[in-house]
This record gives sequence, C-alpha cells and structure tokens, in this order.
Amino acid sequence: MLRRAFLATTALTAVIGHQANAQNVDLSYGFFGMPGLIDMPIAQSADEGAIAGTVVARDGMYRLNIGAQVTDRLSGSVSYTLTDLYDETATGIVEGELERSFSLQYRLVNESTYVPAVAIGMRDFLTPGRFQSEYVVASKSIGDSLTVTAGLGWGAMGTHEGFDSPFGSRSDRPAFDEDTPEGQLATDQWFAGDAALFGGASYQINDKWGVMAEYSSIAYPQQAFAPVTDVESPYNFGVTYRPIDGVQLALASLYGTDVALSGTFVLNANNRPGMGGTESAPVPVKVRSQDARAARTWDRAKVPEAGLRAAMQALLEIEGLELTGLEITDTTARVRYENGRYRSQAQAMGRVARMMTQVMPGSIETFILEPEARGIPLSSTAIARSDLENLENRAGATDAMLQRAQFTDARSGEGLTQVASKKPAFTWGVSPYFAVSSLGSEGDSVVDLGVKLKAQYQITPQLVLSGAIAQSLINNDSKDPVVDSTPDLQNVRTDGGFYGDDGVPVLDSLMLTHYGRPGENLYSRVSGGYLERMYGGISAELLWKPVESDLGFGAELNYVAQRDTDMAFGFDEYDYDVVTGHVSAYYDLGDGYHTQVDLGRYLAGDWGGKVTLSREYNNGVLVSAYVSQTDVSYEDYGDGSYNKGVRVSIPLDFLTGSPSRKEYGATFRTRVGDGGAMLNVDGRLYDVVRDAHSNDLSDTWGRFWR
Amino acid sequence: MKQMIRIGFGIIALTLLVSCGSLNQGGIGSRLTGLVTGQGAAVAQPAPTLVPAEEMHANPGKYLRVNTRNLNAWSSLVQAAQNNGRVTWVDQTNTSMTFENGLLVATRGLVRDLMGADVSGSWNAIRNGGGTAQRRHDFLSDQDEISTELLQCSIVSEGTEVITRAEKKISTRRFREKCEGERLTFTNIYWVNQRGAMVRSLQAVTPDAGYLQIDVF
Repeated sequence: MLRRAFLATTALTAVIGHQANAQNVDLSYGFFGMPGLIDMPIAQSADEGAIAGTVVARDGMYRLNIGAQVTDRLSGSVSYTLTDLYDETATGIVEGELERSFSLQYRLVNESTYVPAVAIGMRDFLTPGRFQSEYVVASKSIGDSLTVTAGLGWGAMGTHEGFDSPFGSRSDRPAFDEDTPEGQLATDQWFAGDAALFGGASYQINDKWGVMAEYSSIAYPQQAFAPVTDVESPYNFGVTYRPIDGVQLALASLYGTDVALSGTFVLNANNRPGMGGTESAPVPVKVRSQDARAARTWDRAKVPEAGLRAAMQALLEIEGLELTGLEITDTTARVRYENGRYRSQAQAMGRVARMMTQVMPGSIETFILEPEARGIPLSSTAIARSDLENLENRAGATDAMLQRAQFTDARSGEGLTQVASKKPAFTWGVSPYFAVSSLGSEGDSVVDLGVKLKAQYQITPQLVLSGAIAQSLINNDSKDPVVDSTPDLQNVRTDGGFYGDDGVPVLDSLMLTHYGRPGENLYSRVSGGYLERMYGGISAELLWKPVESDLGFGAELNYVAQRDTDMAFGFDEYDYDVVTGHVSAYYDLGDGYHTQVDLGRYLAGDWGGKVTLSREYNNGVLVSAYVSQTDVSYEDYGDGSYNKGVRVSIPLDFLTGSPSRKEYGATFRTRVGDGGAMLNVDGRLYDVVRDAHSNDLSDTWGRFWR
Repeated sequence: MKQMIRIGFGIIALTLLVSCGSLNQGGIGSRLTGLVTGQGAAVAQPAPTLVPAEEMHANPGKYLRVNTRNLNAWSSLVQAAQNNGRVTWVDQTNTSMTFENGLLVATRGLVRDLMGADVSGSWNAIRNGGGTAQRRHDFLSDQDEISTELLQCSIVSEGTEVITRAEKKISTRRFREKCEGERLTFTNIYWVNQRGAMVRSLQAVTPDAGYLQIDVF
C-alpha cells in the first residue's frame, strides 16, 4: 500500500526531457526512393543518415528503391523498375523490362521563416534513362502539417504542357541513341529541351495519417522505349499511413487511370534500433591490493602458468572469445584471442582486459592484447592494469583509456604459448540463398534461389579447407551458352546464367586458403582451388597496412581458368585461362569516409581501374558507391559499359542489439558486362585486418568499457 | 522472366528467414521479430527470482532491490566488486549497477547505459543538508561514441520521512536533487537514514533506460 503511494508521489518527477523535436513525423517517400509527393519530388531532405527501402507496385510496373541521405544536403537513390516499355516503333509493347536508375538530389537552400527549401535533382541520369528527368524544386511548410511544393522539370518531367526551355542554348533534348551502351553520363540530355511546371501539397492529419495531391509534369508520351502508362489527368492523389515508426504505406491514384501501392521502410544510421545493445554486463575490474601492486614478481609454484592459461581460456569462453596464445613474464601478460562475438574489437578488448584482472598475478602491470583473425595476429594494444583499476566507471574514462593505450603491430609469436582450440575443426551450415544477377547484352536478368551447404575444416589456425554445395530451386532450364554478342571479349561473366542450371547440386566452391604474416605490417593470403562459381585456380594477395596508418597498399595476383557450366570439376568447356590481378590503395579519409582504388588486369584480360567511396558509420552501417572503367572499347564491352554500383550494408547488432559480427548487405549495380570483371574470391585481406587497427578501434572505442 | 522477377521480389524476405548449422548461429528470425514489433528485439531473459525480504533484512549490506521503472521489473542484486569506494552490484540477468555512496555512477546491460559519472559534488551536498553541485555523466551513443552531459544540480532537504519496507519502519531524511543539462533534465529523490547512509532512492539512468528505484538492505 505504502509502496503504491510512493510510486504515485514520485511518478510526476520521473520524466526525462528529450531535446525538443520540431518534426515528429518522418517525411513521406515518393516513388523514386527519396522524400517526395507521389511521382513528383519535394525540396526537403530526410535526416542525415536515413536509409530507406521502398517497394512500389501498380499494374504493369514494380519498383524497388533504395535511398540514402548521404550528407545533410545530398540524397541519392538506386531504383530497379520492372516495367512495360513501348518498342522501337512506339506501337508494340515489350513487357517486363528491368530498368536500373540512379538519382541524386541536392538541397541548395535551407527552409527558413519566409524562404522555402530549394533543391536541384536528377533522376535516372545515366544512359538510356527511361525515366530521365532533371528538376529544380521549392517546398515550404505552412504551420506544422501543411507543405506546398512547386518546381520546374525537364526530360520526362517536362512532357506535360512543356514550354521552351529557359536555357536557350539547350532547346533540343536529343533522343537516346539505342546503340549507345547503357550506363554512361547522359550529359547531352541534362536540362535540355522543353521544361514544364509541377506542384503539389501534402497535409499530415495526425501522426499516422496524411494526404497529398500533386500536379504531375510527366505525360508518359507514347514513344519509342518509353514506359507504358495511360494518362488521362495530370492530377495524382495519395493517402499515407504510418503504422509504426520507420514504416510508411501509401495508396495513390495515378493519372486518373491507375492505383499504386507503396511501402517504405526507413532506418537511420544515427538512430540504432538496438540502442546500446542487450549484451550482459562485463565482469567488473578486480582491483589489486597495495601489496599485490607493489610485488616485483610472482610465485610460479603457487600459481602455475598452465593454470593461468586454463583459467584465461575458460574466462574468455564466457565472453564468446577464444584464447589462442598467452605469454606471461613477471610484469607483463600478452594475450592472443579470436573475437567471434563483438562487432567492435574495442569492446572485445575491454572484456579481455577485465577478465585478465581476475586472474593475473599482482606484479603484472602491463596487459598486451592481440586480436587474431584467420589464424594471424592483427595488432597489439598495450594497456596499464592500474589504468583499468583507476578509470573504471569514471566520467571521461573512455577518452583517457584511448589516450593511454599503445597500438603497434602484433609482436612475433616467440615467447607465446599456443593454446589449442576447443572449437571443432569441422563446421558446417545450411542456409538459403537468393541472387539477382543481370547479365547478357539482351538485358536478361537471372534470378536464383536455392539452398547452400557450406562446410569448412580448419587444418591449422592459418590453413582452412572450405567448400560449398548449392542446389538451385528455380534455375533449371539446362540451357547452354550460344550467342556471343561481344566475340572479341571472352564471356567471363555474361554466361553466368548458364552456370549451375541443370537442376542438380553443384560445387559452388572448394578451396584451400592460407593466411600469413610474412613481415612487419605485412599480411598474406594464398587461396587455391575452385575459388568461385565461374573460376578456379590460384589467388595470392599481399597487404601492407601499419596499425596506426590511414593508408594501406595491397597487391593481388590470380591465375584462373573458367569452369564448366555444369559446375563440376572440369575446365574444358571454355578452354580459357587468364592472369588477373590488381594493386590496391586503401585510405581512411576521416569523418567516416573511406576510399579504395584498384588498378590492374581484369578477367577478360582488359586493363583498368575501380574507385570506391564509402560512408561508414561508427556503428557499422555502410553506404558506398563505385565506378570502374577499363581499356575495352564500348563496342566490345556491350551493355554495362563501365561498371557502377551502390552498396548498403547493415550489421546485425544494429538491428537487434545482440552482439554479433554478422552483417547484411546488398549491392545494386548496373548490368554486369565482361569488361571490368573481377574474380570473386572470399576473405580479401583488408577487410580481415582493418577492424583491429587503430582507426577502427578508435571509432568504436566507446564500447571499450561496455 | 517477368514472372521470375516478381517471384524474386516477393521472396527476398523469405530467404533470410531460415538458416541452420554451426555456421549460422545468431539467425535473423529474432531481428525480423524485433523490427515488426518495434521493440528492438529484446532478448528474452529468465524471470529474475527475487530474494525474500526476510533474507535481505537478515543480511544487511548483502543485497539491493531495484525496480526498473520503464519496465516495472523488480530484481535483486548482489555485490560483485568494489573499486575505490564504488560498489558494483549484479542481478540474475547479468545487468550491473555501480554506486558511490548510494549514488548511481554506472550501469551495464541496460538499453542505454550510463558508462561513467562524477557525482561527488552531489554527495557532498547531501551530507551538508543541501546545496548545489555539478555532475558529469557519460552515455554510450548510437554511434558507439561517448556522449557527455554536464549537469547543474541543486539538492534540497525535504524533511524527515518514515518509510516502510517489508513491514520494517525506517526513519529517514528525504532529499530531492534536480539536475539540468543541455539535453537532459531529471529529478532524483534520496532517503538517507540517521547514520547518513542511503537506504532508498529514485535515480535517473539515461533517457532510454529511464529511472531506477533502489532499496539498499
């Protein structure tokens, strides 16, 4: 009774104030992967870090959009649209063409009391852009719930009631030359030709429901290769519904003829659903007595080293970590371990260090922590035991610990007693797989779905035999490769759809991989066998990456032969072998931006390069984009010309809060051609090594004490 | 082809659902559940068995009882470690809380942990019967960084109060501490017994973790 009274009297005080949030409902996403009305854009942008997936369905058109708010002002999206197109005569209809689009929008002016937000944007800006449009748009909020938008569009967005372009010198918009390969910058078309006005308004009734109306400037004219859409009216109307945070559903009437349904899932990289995480508390630091601290040595008769090893192994096992080696002197303990649980190596480090305080003799003041992966040590972090004791649970402890920690390359194995692994040498797993690959000059896409059995046998910590057997459930047409549209270039990727389509289990991969540390700051990998679905052979890689450096260099050399399409053991069908490889530079630009440049020879024997730029959040969410180009001519290259793609990857712990090193990602790319094709070999070094180096460790150092 | 892709779009989610074998630990089922229900997929915890009040009274200093107000969940904690006047307690679900003179300075295992705090000014004010103090609280952010909040606090005595706990009456002085920072405002309440030890309190952790009601036995 009294307790109830107590709860009642204090209930009012139990309010923790959040920072005032002006906008309590996310912006609605339009049909092109960015905040918008229905078919028309708005000038406002999502919060920085927002990543949204939208599915749009209407008769004759399905679309998947992935959009990201890359910076405060820059938004980008990738769209895959399955749509009916008019054929080259503009009379017949080709059903179910898959079109890929890349779009960008940049907010030029921020909204203020009297000034609307203004943005400039380009939709589907690469050739042959079936939806290609450019626009300038302004949006203004009136009160909390109403937003009005008006803009000027070109291209597809200049087809309804268009007028002469305000840019006199670009009065004509050239039609796409259908012989031009797909995926080049369509600069001749940008902001050229007629322009047209569009506009609209949205009204948010409450947190869940909203309505919108727009006047569209897209007329969907019946012309060659244009998307098929009947238009009777330029007015579109929509209703939006948000059942829970991060989910939006929209129902819209389109052009007086059609109805569309869309669903959007929004995540924000800065707003982790798993919050701080749900893992158990770490074991607290065990503080030494004054006497123990003062000791210069410890009694090995009382506390034998073997006992310490056994104890450390058991303690690390509690944390899901594996002890692989230990060296103990009078004042120093060096621990090697493999972190299979925590995304953050810094968190694993903090947990190992606290476990060490439980058992290490009092004279040991220096802890040296050496995380390992694939049997090789990645780095060495020295911390003082007394810092752990003095800083635990103190304000400012995280910074102080980072300042005092010393990062170096892992020391040699000398002096270290290896600890035999308790894990079984043989592991296996069955999982479903799903893949969409776009291949061939006809623009065919291959969808594959099936089951994969993976297994690996660890011969030594550095040497692993691994393999996978796949059974496709839908890819069983047993067709054989026939027409070669780019005869000068080996079909290194475009025949991919013929691989493993016989309806029987196939050998996905079977390979032996060795990792090593040939010298200071050097890492090596040698892989041999059936390396991937289409190639077998040998792959060797060397990486130079000092622990505290922003820069790394790598070189990879492969000699591979093209496998038979039945994906058994043979290499006879194509009689094609090639030496391929790259030199790579990796650079951490800071503030979450990373870049990678690869230069070298590709699978078809073509020479060229690839540039990748990534935005990586400290919590592991990644959005990256790449382009690659080689010396193969566009004629030989066929569709796909140079390759471009966008990758989004989200770690599992971001979503669930449970500790895990898994991540889920998808790459959205233009058609895969035969030029610029790289070998897909598993376990490239930079990704194995970097998370235990000082930059990545500092990124998640906030978890050291968790 | 079109049909194929349609099947494909529909089936993406399905392929992620089922996995088995030792290489597939930490499957995705729980993740989807978490997103759909919007609960961030809290891991199911064994129901904490509460230590009976008699047992706690019979062993003064051995137990804490804590009510996590956001979840209205009770738990009993035992001492796990001491470090320079700071005592860490842990419950059966492996959540830990660290106190200095009864004031919360850290938690581990809550959705948004207090990673460390400097609260010595507040304790001095309580001992002096009231006053002002500055606190510093460190939180773990969604970007795995430490976000620090500097708080200006005022502590006032609210007179004496007899509290009843498991049919035992305890005479206390009640204090109220109001703290304000740039992004955070909270009010803690403390009940201090006649020997100057905190026997009960209501203390804020972080906005996401809410308040704890702590009884010291």
